[in-house]
Amino acid sequence: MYFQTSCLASASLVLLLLGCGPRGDKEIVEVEGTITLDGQPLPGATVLFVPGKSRPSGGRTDENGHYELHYTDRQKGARIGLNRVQITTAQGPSETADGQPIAAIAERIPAQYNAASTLQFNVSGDQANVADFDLSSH
Amino acid sequence: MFEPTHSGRPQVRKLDRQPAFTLVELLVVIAIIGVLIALLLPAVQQAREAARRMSCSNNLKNIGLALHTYHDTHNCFPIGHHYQGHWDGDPLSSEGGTGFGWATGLLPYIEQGNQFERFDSRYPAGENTITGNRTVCQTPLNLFSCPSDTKPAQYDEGAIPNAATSSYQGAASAYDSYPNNAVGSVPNRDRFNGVFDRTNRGFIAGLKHIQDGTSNTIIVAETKWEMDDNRRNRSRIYAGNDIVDYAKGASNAVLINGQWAMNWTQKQGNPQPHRTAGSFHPGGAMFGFCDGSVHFVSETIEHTATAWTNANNAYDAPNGGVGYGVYQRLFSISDGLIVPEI
Repeated sequence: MYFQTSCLASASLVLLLLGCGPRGDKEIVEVEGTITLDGQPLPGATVLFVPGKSRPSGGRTDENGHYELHYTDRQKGARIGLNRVQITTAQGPSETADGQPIAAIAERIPAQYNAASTLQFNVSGDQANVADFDLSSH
Repeated sequence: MFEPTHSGRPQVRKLDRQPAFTLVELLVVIAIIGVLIALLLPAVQQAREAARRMSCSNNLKNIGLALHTYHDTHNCFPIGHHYQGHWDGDPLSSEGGTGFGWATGLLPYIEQGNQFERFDSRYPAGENTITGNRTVCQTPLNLFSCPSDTKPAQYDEGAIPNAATSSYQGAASAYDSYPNNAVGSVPNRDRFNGVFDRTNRGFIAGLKHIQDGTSNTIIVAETKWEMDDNRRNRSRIYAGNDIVDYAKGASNAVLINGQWAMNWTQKQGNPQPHRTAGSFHPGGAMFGFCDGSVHFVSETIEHTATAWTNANNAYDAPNGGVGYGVYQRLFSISDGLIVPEI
């Protein structure tokens, strides 16, 4: 009797734990990198990886020009395969937390890196993906 | 306890058979109950979320019906955002936009006729001495509130303190729809390709303009609070006014674009979080379509983030639309591209 109930309990526990595998799309792997403009780190830029299937992955560079891509709220990374890369510094107008206006920021880098991007990156499923880009403002 | 038994068995046996739980039995029962509750609790939370999603879908359905009733009366959909040009004066004035959005025109069709009577469309939305405009703009409506959205009922918006917040915004364009503000310029309907637009480009859409099919075109999208780094968004029911006298900017309080992927927050790099659709429903957002239907669209829908460059490659036509994703196709009213079942 005890044996049966404990068997039942442990079986349920095993079933419960089976549900705790990794979640999300397995075709999405983590990608990070650094963006420089004319050799200088580029802070506050938006990096977008567009695979042409499903949604793009986006990230924002920190003060050292380093970024990390996010696919959804719950999953980091970008889709395995060839991605078109767009890098933009243009930001829309906003507000601080206490309501002071933040003016829009204009584009600093040429259209060949964003609206008419020619940048590409092949995201690999086998090795760590470090996607560094050195842009030229001319 | 120690009375003799009918069978006359020894007392020791009697003690052995006392009806009571052992500690092990008790622990096993507690463990089983614990497992069952652990299985049940997420299901309860999901049932709650499903109910909220259904309520949100009902809101969008009613907004869709109101838009159709408006269309029956006026033979077009309402103006997206009254941005520039005087309502009953010079329509080409570079100033004078009252700031009212599309939802204000719907008031008589959602049983808010009394509210509609209180406001005067000749005056700016933030005006509060001659008209009741500001009071209208401060009145929250449940119809414009998704139960999953964490937004407060009111929040300051530009020139209007305590403006009523909204979970829904009109679909403006699959591209960035706010530059090119020359009043009276000929509207470029390939670039500003959604149902709603600003008045200054002079285009108002009717059902006859929805050439991709009304069931393939988004008219109202869901938005969520906490999109910006300041943990808010600008979505408001009635109006977007940056200054008291005229509208100026602020179309992103009432209109949305398809260039930025759903649920992409500023923290994750989105440069235009106020123009982006999203929701707190896990995995996507609700959208109202031009035929009045409401669909839940997955956030992983194909999206190519194509920016407008020039008229020659609108909708990525030279490549047969490969670079113009399904999500963007749902925004534009006449791109001529095929939309798969969603």
